[in-house]
Amino acid sequence: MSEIIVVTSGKGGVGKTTTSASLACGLARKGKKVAVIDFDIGLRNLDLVMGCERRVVYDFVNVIQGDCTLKQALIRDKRLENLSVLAASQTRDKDALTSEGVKKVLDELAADGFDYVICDSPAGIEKGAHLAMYYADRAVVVVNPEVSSVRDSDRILGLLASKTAKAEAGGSRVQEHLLLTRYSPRRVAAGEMMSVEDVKEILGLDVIGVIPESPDVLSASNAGTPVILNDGSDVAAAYEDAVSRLLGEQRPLRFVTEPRKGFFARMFGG
Amino acid sequence: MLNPTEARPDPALDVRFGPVGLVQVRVHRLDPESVLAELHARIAAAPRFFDRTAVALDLSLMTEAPPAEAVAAVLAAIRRAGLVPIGLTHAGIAIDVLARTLDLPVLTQFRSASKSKRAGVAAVPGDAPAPGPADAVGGGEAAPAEGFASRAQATTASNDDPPSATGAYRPLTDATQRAAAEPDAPPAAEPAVVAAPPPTLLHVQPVRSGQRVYARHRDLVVTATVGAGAEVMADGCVHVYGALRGRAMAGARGDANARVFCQEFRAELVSIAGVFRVFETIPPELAGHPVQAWLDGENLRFARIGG
Amino acid sequence: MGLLDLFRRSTPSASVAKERLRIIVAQERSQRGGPDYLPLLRRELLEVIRKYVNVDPDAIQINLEREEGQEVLEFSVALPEKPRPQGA
Repeated sequence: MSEIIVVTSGKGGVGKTTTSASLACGLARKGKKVAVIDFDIGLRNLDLVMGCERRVVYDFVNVIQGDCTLKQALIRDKRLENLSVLAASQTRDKDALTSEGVKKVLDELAADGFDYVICDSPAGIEKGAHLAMYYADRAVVVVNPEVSSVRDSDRILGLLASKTAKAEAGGSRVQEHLLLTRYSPRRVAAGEMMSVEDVKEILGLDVIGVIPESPDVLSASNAGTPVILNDGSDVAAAYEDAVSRLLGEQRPLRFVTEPRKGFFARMFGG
Repeated sequence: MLNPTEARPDPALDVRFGPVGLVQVRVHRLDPESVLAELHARIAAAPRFFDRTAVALDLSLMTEAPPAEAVAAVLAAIRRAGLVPIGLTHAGIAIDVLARTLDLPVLTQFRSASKSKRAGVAAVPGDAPAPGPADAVGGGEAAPAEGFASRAQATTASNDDPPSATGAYRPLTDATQRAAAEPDAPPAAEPAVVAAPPPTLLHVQPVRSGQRVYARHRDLVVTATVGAGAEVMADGCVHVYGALRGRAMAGARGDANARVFCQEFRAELVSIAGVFRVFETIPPELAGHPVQAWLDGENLRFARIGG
Repeated sequence: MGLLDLFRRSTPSASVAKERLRIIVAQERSQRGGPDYLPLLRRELLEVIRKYVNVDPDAIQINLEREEGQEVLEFSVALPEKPRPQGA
């Protein structure tokens, strides 16, 4: 049985696709068989972030509509052999996705022995976002420490609690995690940005990762390399931590305080 | 043929669909001066008949998609001759586009138009006896070019048209569904007329990521860039006079003779008749150059054009 | 430097943001859960009522109130001064 993780946020531009790509790579590096699916029909991006945009022949919609097999549409990552990408269609609209079609693809991935399926949700709360989260077992809600992003995340958390297969069936619920991106310890220290604790408190959820603001994210997406593979950068290490926490490890939060302030790091971190 | 609406107790109107006589002017070249002069000469023979007569302009003899300004000039000449141009007769998608530009309807004929009715057209004095003016309307796609002829067959085969419809008549089937009016076309029984060139879908705007342009049953000419993530498809050939960064698919219904041409090759994918090649990296000898692609048996071949 | 940071930490905009959010989020959460069917309910009620009385679309107010342990669905319809029956 594969575990389905939706990466969602409500608000656009907070780093869903960057996070999807990095979590998928991180899980694959730990030996898991992973598929990452772009649900943003009509505005696909995951292929660019993963660096496989020129290898997209068939896409998610093609599979759903039976134009090709799932195998034909899955793009094997060149760096990690147990990682596959399913690109979104750029030429269709979101109506091309159907709930049955999504289910069929997810079932087939499970049957093919995928351990994890990462669903990269589109922004908004429309059909694409709804379908991305509908079959999820877990959700990673990506949030910037910024008012509109936090509010949208709260909205998404509400939907996760009511509009998913798990919620509708009753009994179990989608396991939710927060992942803060574009976090600037310096600005938090200066009181210009809400802290991890602030966001945690407002949303009432535990944080699975805090990704520091860094130019590495842009340069990685420019290069088509998921930033987690950018060994040596803080962002990569922070995503690596998040992946380990997803897998159940306990790790202290890093990069949440300004560098070279060891004493204070211990006071505010974790 | 006539479909009078069923009589209701007190209808305010009837919607009727049926043939009316219509004068058609088929031009041999887009020269407003000579059109005006020749029209004047012909009208002189029957001035009263032509006074404010409705006219459909037939462009089926034009070898390339005529520019809208030139057509507008000819329409103006017709108007100055005392006739009233009311539309274009149908000869393919280029005409459809043109008609939209000029805000005129496209007048089509039924393929099955009754052979016996030839009402108004007979009155065109001095008209050459040979093919009725409207033949070329539908004959548009019965192109002389060999490549196109074979394509016509292919499309017929893959289409669920009645068997009586030859390749030459396929556009008329399309036209039927759209028929805005039914000029009294002489029966479309003159497949001999193959005067018109293969109609082309001309696309002058850049094709952007996520857009798809498809030329059904015809060639596609794009005079701008095809962006990454965009798709251009044709049942015939695809020509891109600009950079091709997206995907190009020629022979979408299986014509192996179709080709892809572009001015600046940076394609993501090229396909002909279903045989495709993905370009993860573009071979340096092709990158950025004018390139054509064709099918050699089962192999897709690429070569630079013009050295 | 570090100590100054400590004191400045929860002063200006971040704490304002947090306060604003706390209020907004609480408000939105309280609206959630019921409203999903309320707009539809309102529309259908309006349709039914309009079969008999030509009321204004804004004349129907629906409210769901939660008080400890019980929920009250309240709706009020303002009828026009002279109800005129509508022929089917």
